[in-house]
Amino acid sequence: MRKKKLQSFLTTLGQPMVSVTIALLLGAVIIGLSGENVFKAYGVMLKGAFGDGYYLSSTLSRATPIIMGGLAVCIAWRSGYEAMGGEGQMIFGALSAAIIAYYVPVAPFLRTVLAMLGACLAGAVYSVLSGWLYEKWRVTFIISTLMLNYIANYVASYLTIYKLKDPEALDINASQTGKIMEAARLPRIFKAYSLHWGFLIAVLCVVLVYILMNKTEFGYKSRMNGFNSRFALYGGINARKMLYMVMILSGVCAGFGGSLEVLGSKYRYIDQMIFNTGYAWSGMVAALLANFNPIGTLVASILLSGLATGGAALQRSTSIPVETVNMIEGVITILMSVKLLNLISVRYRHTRKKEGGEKQ
Amino acid sequence: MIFELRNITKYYGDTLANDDISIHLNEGEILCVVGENGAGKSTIMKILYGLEQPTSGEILVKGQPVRFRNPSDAMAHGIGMVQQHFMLFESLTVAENIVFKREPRRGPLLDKKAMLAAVSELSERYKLKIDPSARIENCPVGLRQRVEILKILYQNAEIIVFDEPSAVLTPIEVEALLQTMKELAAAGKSIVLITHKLNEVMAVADRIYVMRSGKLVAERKKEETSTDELAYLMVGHHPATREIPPVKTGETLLATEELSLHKDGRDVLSKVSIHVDGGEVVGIAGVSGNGQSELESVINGLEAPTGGKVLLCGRDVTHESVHTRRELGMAHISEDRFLWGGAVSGTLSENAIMAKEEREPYNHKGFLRKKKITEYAGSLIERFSVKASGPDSLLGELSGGNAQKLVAAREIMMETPVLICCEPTRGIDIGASDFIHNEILNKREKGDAVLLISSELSEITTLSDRIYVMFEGKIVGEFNRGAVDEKALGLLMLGGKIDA
Repeated sequence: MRKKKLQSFLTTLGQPMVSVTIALLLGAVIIGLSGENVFKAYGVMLKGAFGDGYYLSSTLSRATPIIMGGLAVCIAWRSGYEAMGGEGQMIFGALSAAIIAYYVPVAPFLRTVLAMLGACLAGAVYSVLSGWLYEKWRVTFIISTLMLNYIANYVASYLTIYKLKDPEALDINASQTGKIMEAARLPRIFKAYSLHWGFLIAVLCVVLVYILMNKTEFGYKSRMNGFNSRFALYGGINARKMLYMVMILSGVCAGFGGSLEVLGSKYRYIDQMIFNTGYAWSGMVAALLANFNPIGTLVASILLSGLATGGAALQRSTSIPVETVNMIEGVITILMSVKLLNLISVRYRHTRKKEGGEKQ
Repeated sequence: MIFELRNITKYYGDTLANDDISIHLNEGEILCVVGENGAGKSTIMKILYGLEQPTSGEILVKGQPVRFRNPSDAMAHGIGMVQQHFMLFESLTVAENIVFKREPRRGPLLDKKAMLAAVSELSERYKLKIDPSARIENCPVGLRQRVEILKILYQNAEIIVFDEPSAVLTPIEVEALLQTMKELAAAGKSIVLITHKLNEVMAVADRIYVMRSGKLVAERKKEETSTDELAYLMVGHHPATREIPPVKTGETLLATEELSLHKDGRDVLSKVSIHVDGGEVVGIAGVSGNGQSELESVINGLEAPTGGKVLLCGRDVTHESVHTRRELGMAHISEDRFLWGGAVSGTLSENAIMAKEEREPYNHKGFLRKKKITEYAGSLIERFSVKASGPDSLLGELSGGNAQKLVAAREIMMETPVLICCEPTRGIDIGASDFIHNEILNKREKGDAVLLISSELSEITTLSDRIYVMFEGKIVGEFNRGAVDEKALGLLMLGGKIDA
């Protein structure tokens, strides 16, 4: 039994480890070709990501929205809904948080709380929209969520450029909302470092999602739905309720992640801030790497965030451009997507194989 | 000797599936391989067909050693297999599926006329009735299998392997199939038939291999053996027969009133009225695809009828959810254990607790109690002797028979007043199916109502106190136990009439 557990542990970890290794090797080739010392370069990256308090703190701080985006993916995908709408939900979450925290005339603490709640609501509503499109019209999640991501980003752009522009901005071309008052922000944990309480809140969310998915009736039902939706129906699980609960929870995670980034890091919504950083996508890669395990997603998010902060350090101290690092993440994504495709095609085959007989 | 397997041994991890198996096949011969589930006969067939590689041993075709890396290699050597689960394109027509990869062409285009002619000719020659232009997705299981057989015949295989081919056919169709096999053998083709239906074996076989626990335990010529001996060799002991006490019916627990379902432009169910009383097993006989699956899903709540009512324990549940029906007292062994009845990537515990996940003591305020669930799963595994390493193994790791036992265990142990059993023993061996039959009879003795939908006629006639016959969505006959024989039922199932 123990041996079997070890085996399944290794098979779960096998693909992520191979993917990351291949990606890093490929990165090494590119670094080597640009004439730099590979070991030195990776050393610089490692130091720039986790080397001291300052770097570690920016890595963790950057990881915060990635973790939340990853959790959103964990919840939806484990339940059998291949939704990729985390980005759009995160954008509306971030924007709602920025607006509420800036405009709503209540006590600062209340502004923070309201901003977070508003972000959750915005994420949930946007996520439910794709759920509704699926339920009512059978619009595939992949298509609806990807398109809704663009819509969210450009609606947010329009609002920040034309309607909610920062009234105090010195540069009249700055497309961003007004800066949230200091008392309404999520405070830093250590004064000198950028790490804020949002990170710890995200870690708490990881634990909550883990419990929800593994210990509760809801987690069981959603997992069975993900394994075999027909089996769930047959067992009496209400598919419609399951779909909407999952979409709401997943949207809440993504939207909430957006608010943490605004309240803890940027203190405003800046046009394209979620779109350009690719937080939601990194979250998706993290969730894939972790096979939709929330705890694993936390670890993978920090690693991916480290890749980005380390990459920035690489650019500062060597001639290697930061794009190299983007390539490494790209390669990881592609290699993990192999699994993603497998997953989808397995599900597809299961649904197509209408008449099964023996399986031996 | 057209084909030979020499000293084949196959390990799956630490599990020994085939232990030094040597079999051979002569030209024009019908060879049967019999054995219980998990005896290793499916593994040996997978090796024969190139789906699996032996751990050690040799494969020889016409005396030449060969290696099959995949089924195409096997096909290239003239070995065709009629699969147990069908490898067909759902959206293509019957004829298109049959000619796939060897389409008659006119220039670069498909010659539809030639295709239809070839397929019709084939279908007539082997007495396998089909509609060449029907789409597979609209074909019931029985028809799909016929297409599968025709596909192999179309490919002119020299060796044709049948893996449990008669599971979904009516007696008359089975007879025709067996006749087909004989004709094929007479035409010089060599047949391998894997089955556990010993009367079929005795009807066609020239030679028989018996497998048990991965080993070849016996080789017999047909003239030298009997069904009794074969059954004994397969199981290792003589099967017990059970006396069924006369029926004592209570009140009606399940009933349908003029149930109709109109789907895809036709009446899949028309005015089906049946009732099942407490203490009674009621069978629905019919060729698959005559509305039984739809009746099943309308009764259990997966599909809404276009007319009529479903009554459960006296209550109208026509518009209630699956969940409500289960709460009210209905359990259901699904027609297909992997499609509906379970989650292959889930553990046995997860599969065992379905429909009980909201109940104490397994659920406490929304949190699942793993220990209680594992205990419960363990008790099902033990009571139904499911062969598995424990509640944590995955359903997909189990053999078909054991998976079916688990699904049956879950539904029977719901201890509901009404149990719906659909094909409860399809494709599983004698031991497991005897066990499930016994459990069904135990339920009957407790005074519960059992509705048995099966295309296995002998199952229906042995277990049922009353039998309804379904044909094209209608109930065309109702009989008490012993009032009708299998031949007459078979005739009714095909739309014929019997004189009273």
